[in-house]
Amino acid sequence: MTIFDDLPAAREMPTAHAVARQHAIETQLPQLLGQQGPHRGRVLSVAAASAAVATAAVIAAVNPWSSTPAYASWTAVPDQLDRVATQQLGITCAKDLQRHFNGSASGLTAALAERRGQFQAVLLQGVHDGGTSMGVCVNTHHGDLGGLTSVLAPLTAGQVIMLDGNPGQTSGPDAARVAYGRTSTAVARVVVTTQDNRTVTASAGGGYFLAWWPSGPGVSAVSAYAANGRELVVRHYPAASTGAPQQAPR
Amino acid sequence: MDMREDLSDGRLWELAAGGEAWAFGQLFERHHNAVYNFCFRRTASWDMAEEITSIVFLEFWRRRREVALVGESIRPWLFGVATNVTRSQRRALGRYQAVVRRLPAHDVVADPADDVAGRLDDERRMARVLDAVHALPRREQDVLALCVFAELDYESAATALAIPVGTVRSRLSRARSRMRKHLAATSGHPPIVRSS
Repeated sequence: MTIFDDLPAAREMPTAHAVARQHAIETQLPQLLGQQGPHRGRVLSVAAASAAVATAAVIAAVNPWSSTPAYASWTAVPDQLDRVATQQLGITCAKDLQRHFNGSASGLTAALAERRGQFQAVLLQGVHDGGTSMGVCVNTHHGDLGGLTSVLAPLTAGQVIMLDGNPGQTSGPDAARVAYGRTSTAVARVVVTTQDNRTVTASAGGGYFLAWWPSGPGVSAVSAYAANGRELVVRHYPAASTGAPQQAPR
Repeated sequence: MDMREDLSDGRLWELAAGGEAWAFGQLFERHHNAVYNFCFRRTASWDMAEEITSIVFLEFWRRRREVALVGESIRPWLFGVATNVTRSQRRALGRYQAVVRRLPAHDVVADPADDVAGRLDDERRMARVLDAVHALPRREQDVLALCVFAELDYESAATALAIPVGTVRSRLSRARSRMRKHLAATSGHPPIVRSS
């Protein structure tokens, strides 16, 4: 018998503590230590930020001197990102939104992520004060487009789909609009029709949808379909004013 | 299945060193309990061990561009950092004081698995062991902790401390010899120290 044979048995760190510490390290560490990892060189500017109920805000990064063809590789039908890429993109987006919207963007995690050509986009979701908050980031050649919609009331019984945000940059060679929102569990596919008559297949799943397109006009209609292809509902939206950011059509 | 779980330590290390925070988080998830228990056995305090575990990973991140992974696992390197941090707790805590303050460990709901009485008993028992270990020179304490408390093999302990394997062997041998003498002197009858 030795004193080392009676060492206390190993224990696990209390789960809640471990999760909280891991999350804090992942999300806060680069800023806390002032040692950012490689950055993508984006210059983000906050065009507007509002944490009001169901108000969409937009952040946009713009390089007005760029002559790069903005969105040549964009596709109307997205490719889904795998889980690793989704989480990775989600963490980066959450940091960006947190930086620009402070506490309003805390606790958001990736719900959906997609690729259209060279461009990746991610939708974040989180629960605050009994409602859902959603955030979105779209990587573009010219920086990121991002949006935050805070504290939404739950969908009511019978509601199939809700367009919660339609932020974007409405003019210029790098104009782009984003549409995102929530769906009922019956919805398997969502198609967005834009005011300039694009038909954009959204990424959809887990009660959310996300789409974006490389032009300034907003949403004209959102169509929701069941898994068997049956059309569940089509919601139409009148042409909105061209200023950005815009109130999400209701 | 989460594909991140399939990535090796080496791949996650590369990603973390490139600034990918999620990869760093995955390494935390994979190794935090090993570090936590090692830190407990060096401090006899579960609370301190939790704080130091965070600091070990913070230090790991801070030095991510300086360290080249040796072998398949980062665990020896983490234990090496943990050894340094536990050796200089006050300085390390000072460096990361602002960070640790912002970590939310004490704001979360108590975990049902958090057996308070059992943890207090652990701390009393571990404190008795450390009383004996602290009679050794510090370098021998470090080797003993890595080889006995953390159960690392000689090569991993050598990696952790950045010293030759032969030095690990000789320090461990001396540590065991000193422990035998120390315990014999303090208990009145010769103890047996585990042999490898």
